[in-house]
Amino acid sequence: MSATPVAADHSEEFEQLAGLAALRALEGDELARFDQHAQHCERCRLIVRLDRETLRNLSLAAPEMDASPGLKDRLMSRAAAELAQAAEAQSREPIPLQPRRAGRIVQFRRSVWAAALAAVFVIGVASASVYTYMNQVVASYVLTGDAAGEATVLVRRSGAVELQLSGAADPPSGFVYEAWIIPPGQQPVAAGVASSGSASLPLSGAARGSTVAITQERAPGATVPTPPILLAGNVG
Amino acid sequence: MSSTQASGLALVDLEALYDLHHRQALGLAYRLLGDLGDAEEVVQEVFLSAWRSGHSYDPARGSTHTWILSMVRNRSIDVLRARKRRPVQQLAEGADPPDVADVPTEAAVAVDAVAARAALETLPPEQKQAIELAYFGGLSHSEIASELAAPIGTVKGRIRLGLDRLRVLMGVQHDALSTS
Repeated sequence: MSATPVAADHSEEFEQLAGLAALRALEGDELARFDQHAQHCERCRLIVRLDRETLRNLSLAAPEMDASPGLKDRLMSRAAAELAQAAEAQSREPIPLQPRRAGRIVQFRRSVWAAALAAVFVIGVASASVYTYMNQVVASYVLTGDAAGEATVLVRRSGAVELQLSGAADPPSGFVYEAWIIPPGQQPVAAGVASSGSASLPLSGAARGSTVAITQERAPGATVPTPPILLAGNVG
Repeated sequence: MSSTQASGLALVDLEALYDLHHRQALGLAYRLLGDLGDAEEVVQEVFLSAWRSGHSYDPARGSTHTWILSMVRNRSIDVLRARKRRPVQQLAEGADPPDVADVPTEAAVAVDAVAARAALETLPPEQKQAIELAYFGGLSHSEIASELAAPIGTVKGRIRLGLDRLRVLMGVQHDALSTS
């Protein structure tokens, strides 16, 4: 007899499906059926968690392999570029949206059309630069939990906060992933839904200093989170 | 503090992370994707992601090595499912990727890797094959059934039995399940 509570409709087959779910080998209707069952079956959720732990160990059975000679250099270059961009942004004021002296463009003394096009170009470049600057990620927070996939809350220089979800199985038909902002000592506030396992959700600024969590809910979303919490993390 | 350090991130941290873990990360990505370019792209993304977010990694979820490998597998499966192409190779013999080394570079990982491979080898061949196709091939249960020309119910049973056995061999135990 199991010591862990099971759902009323629990059967051996659901334990088989739990292993497949942990492997991300379950799809379609069976995935939906299992997810629905697991919401109410503590034993199946436990089996999925233990199977995932087992599979993490199994990953060590993968062979090792030499990278191509340039891989490390490419990786380090990308990281260095990110750091340089962040350092430059910190030491520089945002570029103004408008060119300071439109007369400088006119002094080329080409056609009026050329001057207009150049002005548009300058404004475009300046706008793009400001956008890039404001869009830089200044902090990231990884959500953790038993669910497969990765979820990260990104805080951009503009103050925008965004939840990025990737690698999770798509929710079963009729369900969505729902994000929640849980300020300290307060009730969870619905913060958006995603219909796939790879999505990006803008969050309100209230996410700063709060816990952000993800649950699976019936579409189009709930006003109160339904256990279990799939992934959660604190946002600074 | 390194001159390249900013916002709490330092290149030296990324380099250390890469040096310790990249060979098996790449081996796993290549095994799943069957394409060196795609595998290296996945590995780059995973290491950058791990480097950016390492401060919030929860050690309770496993070692850094298995955390990275878990991210590599998830991203590789995303790539596989996006392109609907799944080259599958046998784990221990046959068409191994080029330049695969048998000697791990990091002692603790080596011990764990040997144990993981040994555990997999103890499984009955039909269980081992089904789990390898799912884990290292990224196949769904219906695709595994098709690949093995076996009923889906048989595949489910083989994988369940195989995972149960691996769980015991790898010491992943829980009292609530041990009495069932």
